[in-house]
Amino acid sequence: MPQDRCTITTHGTTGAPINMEITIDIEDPMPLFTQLVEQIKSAIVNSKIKPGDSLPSIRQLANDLELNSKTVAKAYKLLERDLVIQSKGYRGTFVHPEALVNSKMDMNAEVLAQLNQAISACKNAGVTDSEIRIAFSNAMNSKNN
Amino acid sequence: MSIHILFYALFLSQIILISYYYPTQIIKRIESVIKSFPPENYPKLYPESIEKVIAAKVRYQLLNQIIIVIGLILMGVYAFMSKDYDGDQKFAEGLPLMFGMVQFIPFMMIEISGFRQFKLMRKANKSTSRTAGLTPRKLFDYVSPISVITAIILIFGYVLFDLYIHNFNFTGDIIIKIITLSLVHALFIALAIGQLSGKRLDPHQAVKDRSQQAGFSLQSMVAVSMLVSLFFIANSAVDFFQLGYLEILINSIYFQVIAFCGIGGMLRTIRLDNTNFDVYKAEKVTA
Repeated sequence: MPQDRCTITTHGTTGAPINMEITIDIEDPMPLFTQLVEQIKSAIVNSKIKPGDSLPSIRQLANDLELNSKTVAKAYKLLERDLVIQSKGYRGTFVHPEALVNSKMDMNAEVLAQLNQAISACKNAGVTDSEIRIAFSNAMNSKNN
Repeated sequence: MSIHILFYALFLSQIILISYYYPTQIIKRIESVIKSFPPENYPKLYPESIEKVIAAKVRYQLLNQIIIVIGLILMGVYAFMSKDYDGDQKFAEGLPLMFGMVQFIPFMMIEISGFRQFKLMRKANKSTSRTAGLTPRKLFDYVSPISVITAIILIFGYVLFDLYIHNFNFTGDIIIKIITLSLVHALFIALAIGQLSGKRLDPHQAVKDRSQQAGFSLQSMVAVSMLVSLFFIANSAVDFFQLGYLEILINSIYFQVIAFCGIGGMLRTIRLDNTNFDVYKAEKVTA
């Protein structure tokens, strides 16, 4: 798993900050942006990077990992949405003050729980499976969402 | 006469420093790498056969020896030709510059060869895992803001100084110098962006070594930027104060300082005992 690949190294005697490394596997079935998201969250949970620490630019990370900038941008966008990182314009990207708590939150599990609750409520009200599917599809395609 | 003697000493020092001392250090380093990290144990370090590396090393050594001989011949020619000139006359001031450019050819060849090796390394790299650091590389993490500000002040200082001594007339000479300075700095900016956020040339290079290399490159670029501006100021000053006979000495000193900061700085900063060569080891094959 990518999370297990986190290693920590220092910049030797230069006195530079501790350098956290991430490793991605381009043949891993897990999408590349998900590997990035998981590794950054894992680094935060394991206190290898702390709230307020600055992160590399999209361009730097994409070039270092030989990835498309869009892949890194997508990972950063998801992390920003989850309040794990925050972008401060030209100053760069930083670890969010609430990153530790937010990194532990599983958004997939949260979404699944909410949907289960909604589906159960619909079924209790007598709505059929196909009606739920059509309604879900309409809701997803709605301009309001 | 004393200027001629001083020039012989400086020119000899230029020959020894750039074409003997630093090449010898580089050759020792190549030999040390081959001995300590042989291709059997570190195959990723040698995208080409070891024989090709040795042949390139011999070519580099030979080219430097030829340049030493050319340098000594030029010194003889200078001694022969300069006897008709007084010490306070401008004579062959371009000699250290022209010869200095020739002296840097073997170093450029080594750089080009390095780029070729990295290209072959990238082509041969079959690893599916890629590593990157989560520490941003920022200019001021490697170079102090004071150094950068000083370099910028020196650029504008030179332009103002040259314009001042020419009564604020844009002469052809000033325009050429400003264009040269602009092109050099445009190149430095492009190289700095490459070091900070560009693609890595060596696919196996450790994150720590990449950071160290970026640090050295940025520091040497700032140092060279300051030296170029100072050189232009000195050049204009000797012309203005009619001390043209000193130009030949300034030109020789300039090339030696450039070599000291560039090649010497690289040898001092990027040390073999501080470089992670484990990344070039063969990958363990799991059954």
